[in-house]
Amino acid sequence: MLEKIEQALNESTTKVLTGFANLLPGLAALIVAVLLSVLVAMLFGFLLRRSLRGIDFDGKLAGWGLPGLSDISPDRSPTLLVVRFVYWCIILIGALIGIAAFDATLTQQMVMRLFGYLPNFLVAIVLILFGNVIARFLARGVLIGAVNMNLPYGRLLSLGVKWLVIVLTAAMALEHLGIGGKIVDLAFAILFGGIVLALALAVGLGSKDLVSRSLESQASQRKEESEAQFHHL
Amino acid sequence: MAALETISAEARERVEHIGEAGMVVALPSCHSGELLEAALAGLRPVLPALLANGRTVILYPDTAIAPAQSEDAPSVQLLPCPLSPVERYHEPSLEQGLRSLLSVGRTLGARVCVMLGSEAAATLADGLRKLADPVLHHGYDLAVPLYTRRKLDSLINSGIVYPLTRALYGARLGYPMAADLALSDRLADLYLRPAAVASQSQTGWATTKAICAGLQVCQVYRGYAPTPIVSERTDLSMSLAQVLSTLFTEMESNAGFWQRIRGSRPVRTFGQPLPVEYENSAVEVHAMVETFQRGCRDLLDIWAAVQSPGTLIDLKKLARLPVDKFRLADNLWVHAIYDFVLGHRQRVISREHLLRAMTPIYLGWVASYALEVQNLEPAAVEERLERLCVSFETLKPYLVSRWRWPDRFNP
Repeated sequence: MLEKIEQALNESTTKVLTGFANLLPGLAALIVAVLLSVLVAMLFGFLLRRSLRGIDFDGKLAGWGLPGLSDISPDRSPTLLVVRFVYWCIILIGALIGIAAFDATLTQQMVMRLFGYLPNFLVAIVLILFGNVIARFLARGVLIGAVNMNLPYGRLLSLGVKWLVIVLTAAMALEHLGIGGKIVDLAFAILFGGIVLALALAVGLGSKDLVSRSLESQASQRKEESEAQFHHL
Repeated sequence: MAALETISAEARERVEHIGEAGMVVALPSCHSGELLEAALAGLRPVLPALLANGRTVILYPDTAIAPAQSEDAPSVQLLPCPLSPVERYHEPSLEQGLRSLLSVGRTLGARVCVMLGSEAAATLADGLRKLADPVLHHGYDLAVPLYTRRKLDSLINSGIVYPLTRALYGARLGYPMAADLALSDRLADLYLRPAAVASQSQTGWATTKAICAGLQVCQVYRGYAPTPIVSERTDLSMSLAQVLSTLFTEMESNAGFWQRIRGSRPVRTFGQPLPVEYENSAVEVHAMVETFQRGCRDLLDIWAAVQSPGTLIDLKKLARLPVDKFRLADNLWVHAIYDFVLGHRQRVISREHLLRAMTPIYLGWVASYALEVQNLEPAAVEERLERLCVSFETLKPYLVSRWRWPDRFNP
């Protein structure tokens, strides 16, 4: 009886140790691949940063009408954004190579699923990026217009426009990623409706003041006349 | 021969039929048959004195129905053209109309082309006579009107356009963007010439083109500035953005020229100035100051993208002052304008947003200026504007330095 127990323990220990010994080269390969990919990513990042700065990438991007990208970039530099994106892509590739050394079939399955998902992921990223840029652009335009019209609730309007666009693009991105399903649609509808209602209330309450001021100005002929004193053009 | 794509095939045929002319005059404001008839009645007596021998071609908007032309007066020919009424400073309509006028003028070999964009119907003949005369008889290439300035008239021109163009190009032209102007054949050729560099803007004002090309420019005293067609109260932000967009874009095209200019010199002015009436009325600037203060609160992030830290601090201090003590110093105003010029060049944010974000600062300047000049005599107002122009000239090295080295530390 004791012999059988001893034999079973020996066999299981050997099995575990053998399995662990089999895993070690793969694990070492994974660590080496990740370390190498970090080095390559750093080198690539350095070279890319120098080249992009050399061609004044940030300035050119602003010249192409995409100055909003700097707002969502680290340190307001689209160059750094591109460099960091490339950096993490290289590290991801290195990790995939390492996992392939670890277990080829697992990697194959992972890569297949990853590549199948990649288009959706990329579209979602692009949606988020452009949504952000458009949201900031529109919010700024609304804010400037509101200040120039001397509206008291310009910031609120601008914030409302910004979040409307961000929420819309976030919902679109989540739908592309296949996350949440109908819950996202439902939540989006509730949130969007809520924002519109809040804005309507805000504008309604704000315009009360506006209407009263407008009536005051109509009542006061003197003010009208004084405004007519100025000719800008 | 100049290209005539802008006018209809029928009008092109008519140009070929006319053959040649000594003067071409555009009347964009005559958009109806009655207005055109009245204008022609006023212009006909003036033409022989201006152009003893030679034909005059009058361009009118193709929306108007022209009166029947009498065969016994072949010296005056009418030609329909795609002209739209000029809204002063609204570049697109003026630009297109001017191009049509100059194209027809060069095709017909005219010595002078006259655009009467903002003249009132009653003063068309006087305007034509005074503007065309220096070009036809004194050898000038460009004649523009110099309007008599009331203290609160043409404020964009008084506060930005005139002082800035004077400091940049060195010529003291009171109204560089006037919609009434007479151009010689040399300037017409220059205006229609395609840009040497494809990326350079082909648009721009005739005044700056003439000055940069070293042509002879003069002014002619006219009455008060005509009332603009556009509604100022609703379109101020847009109008300001349009004016400044043209001005700032031209600065990029002419950077090589204006960076060499130091100081400014007077330009020959024909005629006699109209005496300015003294107006002493209290001004109401609360709304303008309020817009400036709101801008300081809400648009500070946008201003911070272009303004130097020192200017920004001064603007914030100014926003805290009560209306009666509200004064925007000339140096601060000039720095703010120059910083916007540089921000526009570097495209720090969308150019349209940047220019529209200037409106509260501009209104701040208007409020400060109005408070300062409300009780001043006309001569003192002119002195006040002269001091502003001198500030623009004195601080020009700051603009040149930051234009050349935008990344240099700037406190």
